[in-house]
Amino acid sequence: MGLKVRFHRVSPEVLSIELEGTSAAWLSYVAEQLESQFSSIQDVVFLNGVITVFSTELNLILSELASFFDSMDETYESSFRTWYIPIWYNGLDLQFIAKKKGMSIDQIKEIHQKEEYTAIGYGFLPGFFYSSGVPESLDLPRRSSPRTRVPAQSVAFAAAQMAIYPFETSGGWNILGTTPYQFFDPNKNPPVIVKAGDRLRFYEIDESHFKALQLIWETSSDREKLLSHVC
Amino acid sequence: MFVKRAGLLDTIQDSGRTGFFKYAVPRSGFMDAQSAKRANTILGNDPNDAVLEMSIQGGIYRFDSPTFVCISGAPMKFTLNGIHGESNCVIPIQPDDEIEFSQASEGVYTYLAVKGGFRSSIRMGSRSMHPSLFGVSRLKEGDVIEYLPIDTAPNKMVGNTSDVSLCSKMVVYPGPEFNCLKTPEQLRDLSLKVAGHNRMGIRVLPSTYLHRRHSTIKSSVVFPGIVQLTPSGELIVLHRDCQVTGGYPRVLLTNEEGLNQIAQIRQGSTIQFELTDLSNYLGE
Repeated sequence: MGLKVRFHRVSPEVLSIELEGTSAAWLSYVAEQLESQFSSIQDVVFLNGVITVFSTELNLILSELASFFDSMDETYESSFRTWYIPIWYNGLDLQFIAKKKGMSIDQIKEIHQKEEYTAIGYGFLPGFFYSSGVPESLDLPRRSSPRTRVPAQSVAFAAAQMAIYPFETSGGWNILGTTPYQFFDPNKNPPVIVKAGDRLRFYEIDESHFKALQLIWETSSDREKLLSHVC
Repeated sequence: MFVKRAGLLDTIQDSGRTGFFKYAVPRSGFMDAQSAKRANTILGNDPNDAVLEMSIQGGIYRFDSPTFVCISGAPMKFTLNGIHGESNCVIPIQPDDEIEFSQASEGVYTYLAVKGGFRSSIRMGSRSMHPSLFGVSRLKEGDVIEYLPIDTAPNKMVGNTSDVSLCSKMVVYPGPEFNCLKTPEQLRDLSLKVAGHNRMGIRVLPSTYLHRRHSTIKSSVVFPGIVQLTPSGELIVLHRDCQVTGGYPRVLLTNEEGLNQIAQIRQGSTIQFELTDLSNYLGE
């Protein structure tokens, strides 16, 4: 179908496949297909137009992989979910962001909530996903010196991408606030909810609402439902 | 097994988890897999069974039921109820026996394997401790690690019981961004000093500045064995707990043997890289 595919053998067990001009949602779909069709693949990662396959039996499936990509076309039924994420704007960098952008904190909040963001994939930390869609009116580069402590569940952005920190860690992104929802749970299978291609919308909550939702989230048996609408 | 006094960095490790790179969950697992597997093999265990991994300084551990243990890896003196013990052999354990470790005389990681493997909790398919999955990064005093009591001796394993390899020459291959190195010949006879050491990666400082073409790339996939070149000129050999994505050029790559080897090289020691054609690695 004229899709440009380039194979790069990185190591005996690692093969990177470069796919030109493809969306994260489509890469995610291809990664799922690979995992379900090749039982000897241990891991598949996609990032920036590249799918990387990890297999201890790579030599045995090379030709099959080649024909998999040969017969592949870009038409697939794109399906995505929209998740509604509560945020308490208590971020350490809120004042700094407003000052840098020459706006009031209320204006920053408004811009942040007006936009829709698209999840593009996982990286950095377990359960940490990147999203695109940060408008120029809000965007800032990474902080010149990273914070040694970014609180867990911080909603932050940098260099046109939005993300939620799953744990307390160090980090250089600009922190807007905190969400009461945890997006990574190692005791669940799958441990995550958001998929590449899904849309994210943020809505403001206050401290008491935050505490209430935190409790609801922890005890909820249907977290997808909580994320499907404004609570 | 009761942790009476924890070592410097005690963790439980098996051969790690696969299938979760897609959620940015690292593989984890034994830093020096060769030594850990040797300890398991001597006991007749599955080589991938969970063991106690100690780093530089071990602790004091009390056993509450009968079993057999084997200690391997970085040479670390220890006593069993006050009597000096031997590495790389089967040691019978009675209830209330205590093993006390001192400091490793060389190397970094020492392993204690127990007959049948430790039965600590499994997260995402593995017992390997990682802070994001277990909430803690190491064992602490008072922790109890389960194992199955066994009182029949394992079959005497005859095998290679040679000690940890502290060889200072490590094989490397060209990585995906090898071209970032302007003069790769510089790597020949280059002395590299280990400047930092943790489960995510080992930072090594080249003795001379490495000439480069361009220093940043689009963020790309990384895994244990990838060697990154940082803007400040350091090289980072990514190890078992490394992230799945990175923004530094992936100039080199090492193999499983290289990973095991460099895991045992202490901070302050030097190592040399032996640049080899990738085709040798790929077996072409």
